[in-house]
Amino acid sequence: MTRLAFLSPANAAPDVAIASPIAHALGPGVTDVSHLGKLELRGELARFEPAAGEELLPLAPSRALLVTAGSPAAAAARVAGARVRVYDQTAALAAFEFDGEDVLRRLTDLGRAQLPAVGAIARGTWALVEARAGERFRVFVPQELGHHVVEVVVDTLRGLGR
Amino acid sequence: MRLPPQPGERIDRSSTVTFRFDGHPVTAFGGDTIGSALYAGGRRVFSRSFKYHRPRGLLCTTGRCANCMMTVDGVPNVRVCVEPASQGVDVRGQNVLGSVDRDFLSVVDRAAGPFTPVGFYYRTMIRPRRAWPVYERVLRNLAGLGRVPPSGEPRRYDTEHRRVDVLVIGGGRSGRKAAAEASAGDADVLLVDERGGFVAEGYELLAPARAIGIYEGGLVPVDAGTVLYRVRAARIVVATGSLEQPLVFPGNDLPGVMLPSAVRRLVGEWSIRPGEHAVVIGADDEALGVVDDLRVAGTAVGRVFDLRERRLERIEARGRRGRLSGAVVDGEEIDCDLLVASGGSAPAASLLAQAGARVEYDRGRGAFVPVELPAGVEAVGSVVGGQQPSAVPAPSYGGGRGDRCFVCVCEDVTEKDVKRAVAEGFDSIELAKRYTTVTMGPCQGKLCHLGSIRLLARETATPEVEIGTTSARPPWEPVELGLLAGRHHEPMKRSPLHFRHEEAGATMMWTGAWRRPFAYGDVATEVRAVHESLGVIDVSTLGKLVVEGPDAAELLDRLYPNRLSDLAVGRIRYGVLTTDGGRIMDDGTVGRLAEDLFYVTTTSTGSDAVCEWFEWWNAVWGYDAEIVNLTGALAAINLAGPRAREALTSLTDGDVSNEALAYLDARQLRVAGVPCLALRIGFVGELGYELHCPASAAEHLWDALVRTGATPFGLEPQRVLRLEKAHVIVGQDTDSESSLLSAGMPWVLKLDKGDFVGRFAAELVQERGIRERLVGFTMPPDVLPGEGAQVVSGGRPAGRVTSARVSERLGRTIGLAWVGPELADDGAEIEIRLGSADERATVTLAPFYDPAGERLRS
Repeated sequence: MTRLAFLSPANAAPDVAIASPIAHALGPGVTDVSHLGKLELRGELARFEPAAGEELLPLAPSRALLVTAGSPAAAAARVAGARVRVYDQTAALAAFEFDGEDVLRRLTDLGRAQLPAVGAIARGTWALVEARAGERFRVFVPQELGHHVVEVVVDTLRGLGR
Repeated sequence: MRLPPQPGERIDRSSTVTFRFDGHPVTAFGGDTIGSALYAGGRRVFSRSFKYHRPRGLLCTTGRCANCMMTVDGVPNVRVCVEPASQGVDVRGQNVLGSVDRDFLSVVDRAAGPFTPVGFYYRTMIRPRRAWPVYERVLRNLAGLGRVPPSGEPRRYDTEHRRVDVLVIGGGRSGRKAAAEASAGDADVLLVDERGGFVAEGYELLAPARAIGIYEGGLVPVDAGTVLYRVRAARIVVATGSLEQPLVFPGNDLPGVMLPSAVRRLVGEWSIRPGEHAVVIGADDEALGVVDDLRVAGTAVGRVFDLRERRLERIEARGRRGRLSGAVVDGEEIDCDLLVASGGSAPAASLLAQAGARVEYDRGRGAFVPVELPAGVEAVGSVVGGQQPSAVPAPSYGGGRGDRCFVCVCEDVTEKDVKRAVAEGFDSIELAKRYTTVTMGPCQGKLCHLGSIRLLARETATPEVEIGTTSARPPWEPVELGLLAGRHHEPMKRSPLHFRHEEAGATMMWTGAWRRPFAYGDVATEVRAVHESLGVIDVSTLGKLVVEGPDAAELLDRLYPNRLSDLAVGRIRYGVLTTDGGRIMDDGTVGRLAEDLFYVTTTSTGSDAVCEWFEWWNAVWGYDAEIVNLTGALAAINLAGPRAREALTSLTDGDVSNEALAYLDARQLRVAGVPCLALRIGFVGELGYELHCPASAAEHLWDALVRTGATPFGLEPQRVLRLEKAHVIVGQDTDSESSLLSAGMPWVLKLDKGDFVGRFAAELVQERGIRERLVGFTMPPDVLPGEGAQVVSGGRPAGRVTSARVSERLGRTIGLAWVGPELADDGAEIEIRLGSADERATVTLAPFYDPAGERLRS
């Protein structure tokens, strides 16, 4: 095992059921993408280039979230050693997507032009918000508040008649 | 009476709607407001006043004053003069006993008026004190506004965030021009107007909507009915115009006394003849121009008084059956059913003042005008002060004995009230405002702010410019509390095992922002399971940090009062964090996973604060150490009880024998296929393992542990178990004055190492001695003091209880308490006050259960 192997759900045996923190709150219009690998990178990131299938979302000048649909362990192995420390935050963050800038405006004061950005969503919950193609948005929130935030998003969608 | 169709009218005579007023059907045209339809139907009394229940009629028809407030479909305090009439709505008068026409509570005006001067409730309803609930109930029933319905479907309110380049507030001529000019470039322009009804030219129009304040950073909340827009604008243009000011004279609140703008709207927009015989008193051309509107409407204008040309001494409105019947102006009696009176206008500068503009009294105009604007805020139109020549009216045109001259119609504040306030010493505008409540009613000073300052100036013989103005605060417009509250969503932190607890029937409770199981059933059964067999508890809420880097050990040595740099890899030590003042701020464990890697746990509520504390000091000292908060990433499950090793062995290939995983060891294991960090620690006094694993795999691990026969136990059983061990809960058993020495933890303090946070204070406490000491105590099992119960000695207060529970295992009540050092001896007798009786307790300094810790180490 690596030094922080206990952080990574990817290190679980194949028969271990991996649960989503927002599974009980999902409703029409919200897509759960919590399964995506999420690595927090800390260090000299200026020259860091994400590989294909990866996205690098800035959190602070020397902190970023590397999101990958592939193996977080492989991504971590590739990144580690490049004067960057890597922490697997896959289980720490719930992630979901929805459509509509009008929905975004009811959830956060982050404007589309500012994204990706860290801000508050659904009454002060820390969130990393990212604009996807078209009118689609992806949101990362602490998993312990994920259920609450998705409840708010579903309610907001309902209020907008979706 | 409706006039024949005329150009520019807002009503659509081809469509009608019917609503009910106090149960009777009323027909309105499309474009009518409830108020205009009622007025057209002959209604003149629209409400009863706040305090005296005097009849009130339309005064402004712009949604400013409180005179037309009614309850519409159960929603109280709706200004019907601006509320569109819609099919089927139910409109009712409010704050009445009877009807708005016959309100039995108007007896207050006739009989109690002389006995209820301003501030009477501060003086006359204070004795006997126990009667206050009765007084309060009576006052609340006699006075006030509408009632919030006790039940019913709440309206849905939402909040929406907007960002624009330019926000224009006010859709008058100047506002529309400013918006059009701003939108000529690439700017994203939003115009907010309370009425709308015009075509936006190249900009976005939000109407009907009202800006209710201007906050720092260009934040402007806009009330759009059921949506509160939080608009952030790089540039704000305020075009809120000016506000007509009523004159103060006897009878100025009678139905039939109106402002010119009200007449103008009744005639021009809704084609209604406002009265048959009118008298007009005005201070500027804008007000006096209403004469033309009246003539169009066919109202006979008996007399017109231009205050610029003639200085009036006394004006009096006379009424009959609650309505205007005539006016007396400087002795000249004139029959009329409409008295149009205005004292000129005042810039509606409140939003500008909220934004930080300097507002000063202009002697020439007799009004407060904005003179300096903050960056990013502009003002256009009459809000900056018009050029129209205007007379400055007298503070009052009456005020003699028996005169009722209303300065503030919303709050029923009279000229006499202001005089009384000054006589009683409330002679500054801020004090007079609070004492009389002038400007504090629904209009928020729009119609009484200037008038009250003029009166105060006269009564104190101080120029208005020296009196100044009251602080402008949001909301500038009335706003429903529901809109400010928004949707009811309580942020709640859920553990990764939250739904497992619910499925198991746990009683959940709040602990900070978390929801946690209190117990799953019988508390005693759960305690017994841990002592005698095996229990499992979700402790995922614990804070969990990683401190990594070549300087990690040195950083922790300076943060903690105990030494951590000599901690062997794979070992754990208890750690208590203290502030610079040596006070206990948090506690937990520190495990060393590698030479440069530490795993730190904190209390459930302390993780964010501890993480910030670590980061702050790390930045100050400049260490090469990374601090990562992993609280959410990891679940934590404590498996405790004599069967804990057996159960764990069945789920892992790792060696968990006492030799391989000893007490205070930390090691990575795979348990039921889940990667875990196993910490051999215990809070509950039995052999235990705290398993930290990825949050998303927690349910799998929990299920596997429960299948071994472990009984889930909640927070309450845990509190009993920890108290048996006399373990302290920071924040419950300690407070902001507790130090390591006073809390009985001298063994934590290592003064033979280098400097650390709180060292100076700890040395000082050691030198001076402690004033209190946290001790354990025992009592008979039939006595249970509450948390906070007083410890007494010789009949005098000597301390307080912080925790107490009955321990079935020990057959006694046990607890922790703060006592003076003279009582902090093993076996000392203390008394704890329960109600009126003092019960004896015995001080115990060692843990109550397994004091040598043999069960933990087994």
